[in-house]
Amino acid sequence: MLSRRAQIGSRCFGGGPRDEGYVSDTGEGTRYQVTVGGRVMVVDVAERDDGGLVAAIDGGDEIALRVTSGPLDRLLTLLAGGRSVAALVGPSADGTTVVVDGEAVEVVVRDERAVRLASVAADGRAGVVETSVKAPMPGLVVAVHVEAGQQVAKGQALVVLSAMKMQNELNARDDATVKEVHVEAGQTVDQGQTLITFS
Amino acid sequence: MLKKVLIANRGEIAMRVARGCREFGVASVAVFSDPDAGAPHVRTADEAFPLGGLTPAESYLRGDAIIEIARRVGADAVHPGYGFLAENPEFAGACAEAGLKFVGPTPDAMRALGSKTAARKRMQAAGVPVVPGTVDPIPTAEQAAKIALEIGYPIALKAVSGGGGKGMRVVERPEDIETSFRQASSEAQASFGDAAMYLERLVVRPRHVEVQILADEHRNAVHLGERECSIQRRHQKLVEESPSPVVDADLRARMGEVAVRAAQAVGYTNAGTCEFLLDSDGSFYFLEVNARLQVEHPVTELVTGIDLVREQLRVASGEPLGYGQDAIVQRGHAIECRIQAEDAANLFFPSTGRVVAVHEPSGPGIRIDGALEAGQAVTPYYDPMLAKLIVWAETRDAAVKRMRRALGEYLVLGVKTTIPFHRWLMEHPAFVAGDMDTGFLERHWTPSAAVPDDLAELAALVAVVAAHRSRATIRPAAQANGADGTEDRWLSFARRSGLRVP
Repeated sequence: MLSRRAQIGSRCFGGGPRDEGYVSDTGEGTRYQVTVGGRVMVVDVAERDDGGLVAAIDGGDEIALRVTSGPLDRLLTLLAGGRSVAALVGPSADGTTVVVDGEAVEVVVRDERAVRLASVAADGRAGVVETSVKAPMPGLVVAVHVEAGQQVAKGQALVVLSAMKMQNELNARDDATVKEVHVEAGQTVDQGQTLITFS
Repeated sequence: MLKKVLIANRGEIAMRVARGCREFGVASVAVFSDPDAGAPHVRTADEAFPLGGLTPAESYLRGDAIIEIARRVGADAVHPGYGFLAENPEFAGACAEAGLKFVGPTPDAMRALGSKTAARKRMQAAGVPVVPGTVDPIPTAEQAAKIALEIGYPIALKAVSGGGGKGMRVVERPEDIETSFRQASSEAQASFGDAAMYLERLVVRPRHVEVQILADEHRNAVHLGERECSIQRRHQKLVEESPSPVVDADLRARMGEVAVRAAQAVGYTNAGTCEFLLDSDGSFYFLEVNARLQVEHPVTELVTGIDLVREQLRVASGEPLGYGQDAIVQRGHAIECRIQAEDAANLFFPSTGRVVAVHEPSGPGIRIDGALEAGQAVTPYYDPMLAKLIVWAETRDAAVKRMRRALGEYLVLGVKTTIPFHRWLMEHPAFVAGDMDTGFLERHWTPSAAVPDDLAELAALVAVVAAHRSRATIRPAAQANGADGTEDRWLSFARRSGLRVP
C-alpha cells in the first residue's frame, strides 16, 4: 500500500481527477525557488479563476491547490491534488518551518527577485567562509577536548556541554584545524555563542 | 479528609495533580518559579503563589519556602509530583513536622529505599530476587576492577544516590572499568552530592518491566499490573505501555506478588513502583522502588480504570483501599509516548526556544497530559518533556495504529520534538511485534537528517502556498478581490497576523 505521503509527490501526482473550473493560467504565474534539505526545486504557481492555485514542481505535472482554512494560529490546511494536508507554518532563522506529517521541515522560499538579490550578495562574500562550532543551546561547558592549532578528525569530540540535565558531546563535522577555542570548562554559554573556530 | 493540597511541582504533573484534586473535591495550590509565572500549571490550580528564583535549586527544590507557603495558605497536605522533592525524606519529614500530610510514603520508607545498596539488602532479606553484584559502596576504582572481574562483564556501575539512569554507566571491557568508575563517581558527586558507587552484573538484553503498587495505611496493598518501559535512551524512558507484550497472567501474578512484598518489607504506603529487569528466560530481578507517582502512570490508569491521583489522595486521607487484588482487572492496551523538546535526528539534542503554535490530536482513545501551549518558552532549566501522548485501544495492535494516527495529527511549531522518532518507532517491525529490550534504541535507531523527496515536495508546496498568499494580501484590494473591491478586514488581519513568511 502506498503511503498517503507518497501519493502527493510530483512524479506520482496527476492521476486524480482535476477540480472543476480548472483554468490553466501560466501567463500570470509566479516562479519560486524552494530549498528543502539541500534539494533545490523550482515551483511555478498560478492563480485560477475560482480562487484556487495550481503549482508545478520542477516542470512536472500540475497540482491543484485549494486552501481550506487558515492561516489561523499558523495552521494552514489545504487540498493538494485532492489530498488533505494540515500544516503549521512559521518563520525560522533562515526561512520557513513547515510542520507537516509529524515532521518539522526547514524550507527556504524565494521568488525570482530574491534569488537574484541572493546571488549578488553571495558574489560579494565569496572566499571568506569561516566555519565554527556554536552552542546549540544555553548550557555549561563541562570539558574542552581540543586546543588551538590542533588537527581534528570528523566525529572527534570537541566540547562537552551540559544542558537540561544531560551532558552533550559536540563533535567535529569534518576534518579541520582548530583556529581558536573561545570557551573553557566551567563557563556558561548562551545559545548560538561561538565555542570553537576552525582555520 | 484532606481539604487543601499544595502541589510542590510544575508542568504536566502539577496539572495532573490539580485536576485530580478538583475531581476529588479538594482545593489545590500551585507554586511557581520566575520563568513559570505564566505557565499552565499556575492556572490549573485553584490558587498559586510565587517561589521566585530561576533554577530548580532556587525554586522547586526550596522545601522550606514551599512549607512556609503551605502553612500560610492553610494547606493541610503537600503533593510532591515526581522529581524535585518527591523522594526526599528530609522534605517529607519537614512536612510532617509542620503538620502537613505528605502525599507519598513515610520518610522512613523513603530512606529505606532511597539508598540503593540499603534497599538491596532489605529486598534480599525479604526474598526479593536481585541481580548479582555488590551491596556496599565500592571505595576505589581498583577495587571496582577486582570485583567486576569476579562478577563477570558486562557490568553496570551505579551511583548509590542516583536514579533514572543518572550516574549509571555500563562497562563492557575490563580495560574501561577504572576510567568509567572515576567519571561516574565524579558525575554522582556533582549531581547528588554523593560520589558512592556500587556495581552489578549487567543482564544482557533485559526488558525494563515495572509494577505499579498501591498501599494504604492499614496494611492493605495491591498491585495494578505492569508497565513495559524498554524503549529508553541513556536509561531515560521514551515510550511505556501496559500490559507488557511478554508478561502473561502467571508472570504478572508472580511479579506483582514480589512487588507487593517489596513494598511491605519497608512499610510502604501510597502509590509506588517496583522496577524489575526481565530476562529473556522469564526470570526477573528487583531494580528499585520509585517512591512516587511515575511519569508513565497514565497507561496503568487507562488499562485498570483506576485514577492513581485520586487513590493517592484517598490513602493520604487515611481511607482504606476498600478493595483487594481480585478487583484489579486489566482491560485493553495503553501506550504512552513522551513528547520531548529534543531533536532525535541529532543525538536527541535539547531544543530550546519558544513554542509558536500547537495542534494536538483528539478523538477516540486519546489522552494528552501536557503543559504545552503556544507562546510557551522551552528553557534549559527544566526537563525537556513537553507532553505525554497516551492512547488506549482494545488490543496492542489497535493501540499502535491509534498512536500512529495521533502522532500524525500532532503538530508543534517552534521547537524540535521527538514526534518524528515516535512515528518511526510505531512503524518499526520489531516494536510492532513487541520484540524489544532496553538496547532497542542503540541497535535500531539510525537517525537521518535527510528529508525524503515526497516530504520535501509536500513541505515545499505548503511553504509556497503560504508565501504566495502573503504576497496576495499586500496587493491593492480591488485587484486581489475582484469586482467587489473590498476584503473583509478581519480576514485580512487574520492572514497577516497568522502568517508572516519572509
